Amino acid sequence: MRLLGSALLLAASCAIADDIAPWPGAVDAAGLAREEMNLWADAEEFDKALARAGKVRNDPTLNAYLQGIMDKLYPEFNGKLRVRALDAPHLNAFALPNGSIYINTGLLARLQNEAQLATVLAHEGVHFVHRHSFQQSERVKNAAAFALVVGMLGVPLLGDIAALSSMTGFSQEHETEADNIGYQRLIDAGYSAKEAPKTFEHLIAEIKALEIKEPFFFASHPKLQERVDNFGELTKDVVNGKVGLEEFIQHIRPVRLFTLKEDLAAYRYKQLILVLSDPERRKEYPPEASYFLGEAYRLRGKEGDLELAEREYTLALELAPEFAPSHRALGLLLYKRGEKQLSTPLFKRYLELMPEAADRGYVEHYLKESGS
Amino acid sequence: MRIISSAIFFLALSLPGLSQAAFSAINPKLSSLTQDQRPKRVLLLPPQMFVAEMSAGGVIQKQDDWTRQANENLLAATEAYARENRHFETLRMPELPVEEAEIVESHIGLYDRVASAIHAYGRGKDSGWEQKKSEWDYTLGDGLSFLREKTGADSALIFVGADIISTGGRKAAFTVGLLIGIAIPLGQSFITVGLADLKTGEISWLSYDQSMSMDSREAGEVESLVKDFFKTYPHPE
Amino acid sequence: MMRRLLLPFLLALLIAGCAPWSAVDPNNRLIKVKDDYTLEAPMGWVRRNYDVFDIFLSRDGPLLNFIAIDREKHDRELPRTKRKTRAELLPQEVAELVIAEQKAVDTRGSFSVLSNQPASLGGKPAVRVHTRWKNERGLPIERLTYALVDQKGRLAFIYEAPGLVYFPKAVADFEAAIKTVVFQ
Repeated sequence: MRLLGSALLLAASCAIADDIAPWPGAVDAAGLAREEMNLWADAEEFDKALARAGKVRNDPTLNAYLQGIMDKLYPEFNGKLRVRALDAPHLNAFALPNGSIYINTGLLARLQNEAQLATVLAHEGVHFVHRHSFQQSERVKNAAAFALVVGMLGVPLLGDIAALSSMTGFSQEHETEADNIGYQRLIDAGYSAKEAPKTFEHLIAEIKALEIKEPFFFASHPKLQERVDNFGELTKDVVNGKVGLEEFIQHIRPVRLFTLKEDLAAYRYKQLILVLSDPERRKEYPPEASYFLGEAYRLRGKEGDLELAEREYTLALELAPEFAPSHRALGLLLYKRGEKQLSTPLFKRYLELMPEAADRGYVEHYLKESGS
Repeated sequence: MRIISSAIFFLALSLPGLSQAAFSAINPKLSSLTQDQRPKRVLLLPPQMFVAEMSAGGVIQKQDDWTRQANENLLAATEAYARENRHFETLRMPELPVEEAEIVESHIGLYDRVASAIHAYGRGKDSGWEQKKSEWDYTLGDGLSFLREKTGADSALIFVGADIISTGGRKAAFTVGLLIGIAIPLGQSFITVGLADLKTGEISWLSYDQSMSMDSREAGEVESLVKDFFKTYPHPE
Repeated sequence: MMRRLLLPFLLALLIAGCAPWSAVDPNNRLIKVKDDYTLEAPMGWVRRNYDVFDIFLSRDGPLLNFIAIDREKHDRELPRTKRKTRAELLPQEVAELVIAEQKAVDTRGSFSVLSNQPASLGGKPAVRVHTRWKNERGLPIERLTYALVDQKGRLAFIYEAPGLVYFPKAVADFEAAIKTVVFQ
């Protein structure tokens, strides 16, 4: 009876061949087969949900810049691959079955130049062009069916976990394909291929320093080091192309400032210290970045950190005297130390520069306590 | 034990589709209104129901074409019911500019929560919540009142729910499961319909249905469902 | 046979006796949290009898509004920032943590701090932080938090409801309840 049952089930879940051809160019959803059309419709709903929730970054200049890079990488798609930045802190980018590509501000801020950004976008583009979502969805259903049979026969469900792991992202084969084909797109668009491995090298350094488990962008990917090695092989004899440093820094500057504020507000001080204490990277940030570094030291609170914080606040006041939060931050440090006479003019200056400050009530309280 | 559970599952499989409206909740005010005071022109908001397929292995995947079919069935069945019974007339939602569409969307998001709250607590069935049945003040607020001017409607009807339909493979798994004493969950549907006054946002009536056998892609089944819903609508004496 | 029936019978009795919710009794609104504080529960609200929070109340159902009140010791890490608190924290630093814990929830889009002010809670210095975010339908959700730190640990009074209709509808009940807090 059990054998008959499992035979019936296996017959019902017939395998779909993986010979799904990549898109040659811009494709209209109306021409899709039913299964794939449903995936696209789902993706459209997801697009709408992200927009309604306010997660999509409302920055036309930035989105135009990102789209320009994608269109260089995939010119035959006539803008069908739509790139947008997402207000989210994690090192992540993802592609939806309908050609929507999202890259988190957290990842954008950490990249170093346009070629590295193009590496990420080229990779994500492959997931759409080669229809990995569609391939994945068929595999997952069949894998789940197999796992069900296995479970019913009383075999331990190890097969279940292995088969379903691809539900959390694309499979390792798809990711490797995206790396390799994306790399070719990078070169064809004239970008520096040597930046491809660097995209992952410096992210590895950050992940190790922050003790993050490999973030979602890389979760089901071949291990980061393997990818660096793979790219290293590919780029051995390649002539250098465009790096795009200045253009990138100029376009990403608002994102970097935004990410500093977000990281600080969410107490992600380790990230702030890692990035801003590196003099080379610090040059790419606006002068008020010193305030954020000071705040990060304050939050870390190790021995000596308050002195470091004071140094950074003072530097921020010198370099960006109209940046109100630096006045408040230094004022508060001195206030807590009991130096209320020194803190008072700083608090007053803060309120002059930012009369609508959300925390005005606290600052007025400190002034009152200081006898002002 | 296996024989008993198998028997129960076989029984469940062989019972006719249990597709009657199981629950309803009524604003006490609605029952006391005269025919003149009752909703006359009801705007049918785009149904918020999705239809999904449950595969043999239990993977649930939304089906856009089935969803469109089911939602059209709901609208058509409601229009047919209104024509036959003449309690009110219906009209469909016109195309809206982006800002107005967003307002409607956020109010549907609110309705989702209101309907859940009424289902769980507003019927006054649970201990501690008995007073809600008579102290009824569930509302969407007046944020949708612009639709009155726009359409001439005085009330809005909203469908929200999900219909998860098992594939043949899944049903086969269910059958095999019976034979070896394992419960394999099949798909099911849960659909609510609510009526809201467009001027005040007050919710006047809700009805719910839960079924393991309904297929909202079938127009006939949806017509029966809608008739069952409106059996709980308080008609004037 | 009798023994076989006894356990289900006892279970049924237990379940019937342990009702999950109780309406606030108009003649006995005082809630006492042992060795800590008392407050008057608002009229027309319903209290969940067993909850992870010290006190959990709702007026129309938790998806439409709730009040959650909880005391934690300082050495217990906050769930997202993993920070511990101290009695010596300035109110502004407490507010920072209140905001950081909410900000760390990635799924909240359009997160904003509507107001952040010093406040008084039962005579102790506290903070009053009002935040808003949107869900996937674009429905705004608002939360009002009163929080403080003292020698016993940290204490938070939270009121949350959809920003459309329900937040303004019952916020006065919450603010009135806050005014009735008396520390032991």
